[in-house]
Amino acid sequence: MSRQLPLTVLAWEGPQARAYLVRMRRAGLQPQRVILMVRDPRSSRIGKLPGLGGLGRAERAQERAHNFHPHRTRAAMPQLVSAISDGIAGQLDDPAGLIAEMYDNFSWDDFGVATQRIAVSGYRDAALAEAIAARGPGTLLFTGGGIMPASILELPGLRVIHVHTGFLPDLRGADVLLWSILVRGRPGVSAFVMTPRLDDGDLLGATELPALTIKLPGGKRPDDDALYRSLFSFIDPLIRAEFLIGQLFEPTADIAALTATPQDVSVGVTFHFMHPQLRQAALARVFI
Amino acid sequence: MSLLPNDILQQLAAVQPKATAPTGGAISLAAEIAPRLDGALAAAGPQRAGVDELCRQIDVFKGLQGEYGASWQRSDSAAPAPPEVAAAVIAVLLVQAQPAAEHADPDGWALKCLNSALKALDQNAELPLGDELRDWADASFTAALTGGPSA
Repeated sequence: MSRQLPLTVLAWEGPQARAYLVRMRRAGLQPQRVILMVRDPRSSRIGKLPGLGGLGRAERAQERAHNFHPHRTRAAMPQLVSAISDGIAGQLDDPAGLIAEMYDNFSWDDFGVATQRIAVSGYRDAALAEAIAARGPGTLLFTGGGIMPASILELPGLRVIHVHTGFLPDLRGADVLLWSILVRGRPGVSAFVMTPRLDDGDLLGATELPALTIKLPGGKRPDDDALYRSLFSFIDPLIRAEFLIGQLFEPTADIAALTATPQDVSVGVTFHFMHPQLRQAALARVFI
Repeated sequence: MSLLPNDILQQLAAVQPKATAPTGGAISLAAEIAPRLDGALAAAGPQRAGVDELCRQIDVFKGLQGEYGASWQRSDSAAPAPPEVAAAVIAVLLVQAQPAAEHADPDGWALKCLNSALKALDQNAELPLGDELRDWADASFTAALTGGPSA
């Protein structure tokens, strides 16, 4: 029997949102609400597409576009995906099964709650803030895909949670999973309440994880682009999901009562996306 | 390496444009970087204030401007930083990256600066002492991340 969480999952189609929902289902948890943002890349508003069929077509196009790399990697490099599953099996229960649930016959309506589809141009679309505000105060889970604007973050009584694959407050910014490998020798993960500023919100929890190594199958080493994409198609989303659901939500009777502790924002380094040379070095430490 | 870091810094210092800080809170990159260049190697410890913003300009905005508004506000009409000033920024970043080459970079600040220096080298095709700066960056990278000797 599922336990319903007082939580809205704001789903940006892609590996991160899927990992959260699949892991929740495994834990016997279901969100109160799922809002799926549907954006048509060919126009700024879904409204330009004729009729209700336009939203469905846009959703399917978005599914293909946002999951292109995981689908392609699973089809073209199944041994890489197996190696990844083997490499993280010590930290997650059944990663191969979780990956299969994320990408095989996945449906946004299979998580115990009717998913609300919203046609939006992005996070700054007024329709999104209206839809979130309509349900009043509560907890929202951010799943990536853009910058959350202050217009949503500052809605009365709303707490927006984000999970960051770096140990806060020490590592902020972009590519932190790889920066963690170079700087700390192992990944970290933190859950926090978002503010309009970068990665400085009050912490719900933070931890460092065992060193991450994926033993590649024999044969030609995949190029760095393929390895980088596989990191963010499979490993990064599952790390976030496992921490948030396995470590924070599952053991807690009332997630609304989870306390958040202010970070020391005077410490830490804000990192940016890695130059290809550094990225190659970081990937070489993960994929051996 | 073709030139030692100290020689690179001295040669770049000699070609910096004379610049004064503009009024009204605006920021001249040349005026900002010249004092950092002078004696950069002698400076003790990381110079995070200001250097962090240089990294942000390179990494997030993909290029340096010659002038900024207050609080490093970019302007569409601002000219790119002159090559000698961009080279000076890279040199300052490579000085900050030195602890990584010496495996004394506990929080990753030095690696962050190396990252930005490499990007700035890619963003600026023609730089005074461009080859020497590239050699310095590559040597730092090798020392920091492949266990080889430092520059």
